[in-house]
Amino acid sequence: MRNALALGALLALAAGATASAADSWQISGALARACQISFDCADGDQCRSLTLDDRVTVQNTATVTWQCNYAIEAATMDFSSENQGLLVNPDDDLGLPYLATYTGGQNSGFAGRSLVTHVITNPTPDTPNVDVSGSIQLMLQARTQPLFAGRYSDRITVTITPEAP
Amino acid sequence: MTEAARPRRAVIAIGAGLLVASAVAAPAPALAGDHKDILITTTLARTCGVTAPGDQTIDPSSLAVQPVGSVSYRCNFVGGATLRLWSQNGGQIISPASPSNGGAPQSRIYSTVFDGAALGQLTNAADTSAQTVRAIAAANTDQSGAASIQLSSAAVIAGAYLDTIFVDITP
Repeated sequence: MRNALALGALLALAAGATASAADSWQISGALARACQISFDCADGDQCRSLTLDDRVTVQNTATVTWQCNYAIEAATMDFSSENQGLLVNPDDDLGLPYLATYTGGQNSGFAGRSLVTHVITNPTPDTPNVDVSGSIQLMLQARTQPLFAGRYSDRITVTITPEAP
Repeated sequence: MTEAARPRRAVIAIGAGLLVASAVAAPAPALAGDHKDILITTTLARTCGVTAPGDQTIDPSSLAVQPVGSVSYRCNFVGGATLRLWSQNGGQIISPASPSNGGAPQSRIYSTVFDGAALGQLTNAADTSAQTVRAIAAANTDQSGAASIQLSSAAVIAGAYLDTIFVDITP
């Protein structure tokens, strides 16, 4: 009799119940760190209008603007010169040295450095995706030899790279 | 004949989950034969099972339709079953707040399509989940439906974005 009652209870449960099943899965993706940089030659001429006779004034050239899609943690900014810190005239073997300054904030700037080798800074953006701007300023250095007629030029390259988290 | 040796009548009926058993002792004619049928019936309940795909990788910067795997399910009957989808973040991928993302959680809403059925933005609870009725063409046979999502706007702040999608199926 005990066995028969147990069977009855089981059958009642089976007849009255409906079952469901559930599961889950995760979707995820990472947006990589990235920084971007641009420059602007104010008035369209500032990048190429240095006054060669002025050896004491800091002269503005381009405005360099950068931003990163993250904050607080660092990036690497690299400033380099095509002519290793010299303005070069094809007719002048010596070149005209200059010291460079970048006025950008949030640890991106530096002051009065020769670009004979790369200058490295480590900006730490305060806020993601917000522009930070500064000027590239040059101070031409004195030299004892006279300059030669012609065009003195250099190309400064600025790169910014996010540091790995 | 002693009391213990005397034949007894027994009636046992079992059906549809109802058991009635009784045993009645009653005198019976001596040496008379007897038999009784015992009817046993039962019902196997309708059930369905569902299996989610493994974890899926998406591109949080893409506005394209992105596949997020295939859900398989089977039922032990032919007919219809209701499949529900909801998510932990209510249809959003979220990158938790951290110093590097500005100290605020970053989220992006996505809409979901399951096997061609547009479910919109998922909710974060089963009770209010998106539902789609699945035709069960054959019992105990696997069927599946592909799921995809589409972000309403692209993530622009670096970080890891995620959500967990829940699915269940009911006969």
